[in-house]
Amino acid sequence: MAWKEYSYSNEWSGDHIMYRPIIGLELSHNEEHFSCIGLIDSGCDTTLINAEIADALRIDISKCKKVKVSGIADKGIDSFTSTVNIKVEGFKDFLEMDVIFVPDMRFGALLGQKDFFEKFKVKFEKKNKKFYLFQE
Amino acid sequence: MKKNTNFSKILTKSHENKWVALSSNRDKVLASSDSLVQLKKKVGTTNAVYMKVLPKDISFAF
Repeated sequence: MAWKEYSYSNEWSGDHIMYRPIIGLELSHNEEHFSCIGLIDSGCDTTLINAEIADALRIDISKCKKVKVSGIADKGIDSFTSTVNIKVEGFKDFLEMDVIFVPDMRFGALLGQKDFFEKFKVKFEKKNKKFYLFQE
Repeated sequence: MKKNTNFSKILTKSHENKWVALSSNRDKVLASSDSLVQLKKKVGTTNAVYMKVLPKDISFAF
C-alpha cells in the first residue's frame, strides 16, 4: 500500500480563494447509499455529518443515542449518534465509523479524529496544495 | 476518473447555503435546493455527488 495523493479543492471565501482538504465519500447504512464530499478536519473529535444525510440514509433517529455537539461559540447542539459505513475516495473498502449527525450543519461532512484519523494516516502539504492518505 | 477540485469556477452566489448535486467528476452543478430531500427528488436516479455550499462572506472554524 502506498500513500494516495489528493489535491486541495478551492472555493471563494470573501475576496480570496480558500483551499480545503476535501475528499469524496460514499456513505452506506443498511441498503441505502449516499455520495457526498467531506472535509478532513483534525479539529473535530468525531466525524460529524449533516443530519439531512441521516434522512437520505433512512436512519431512524428515534433509535439513536442523543449527544450535544459544540463548536467555538455555541452551547451545544442536540445531535445523535449512529454507525455508518464509509468508503473514502481512492480506497476500495467500506469502513465502519461512529459518527454524529448534527442538524443545521453548514457543511455536509467533517472527518474527525475518532475513527477517521484512527483508520488513516493523514499528511497535509498545504504549501503544495496536496494531501495524502495511507491505510495500513 | 479525474475529479474537479476547482469549485470556485462552478459554484456561484446563488448556491450559497444550499445543497448542490454535482456530476460524478464534480465539474458541473446538476441541480441545487435548500433541502437535500427536494434535491434528491430533482436529481432522481442520476449519479451525483452532494455538497452543502458554504457562504462566501464568512470565515469558518470547523
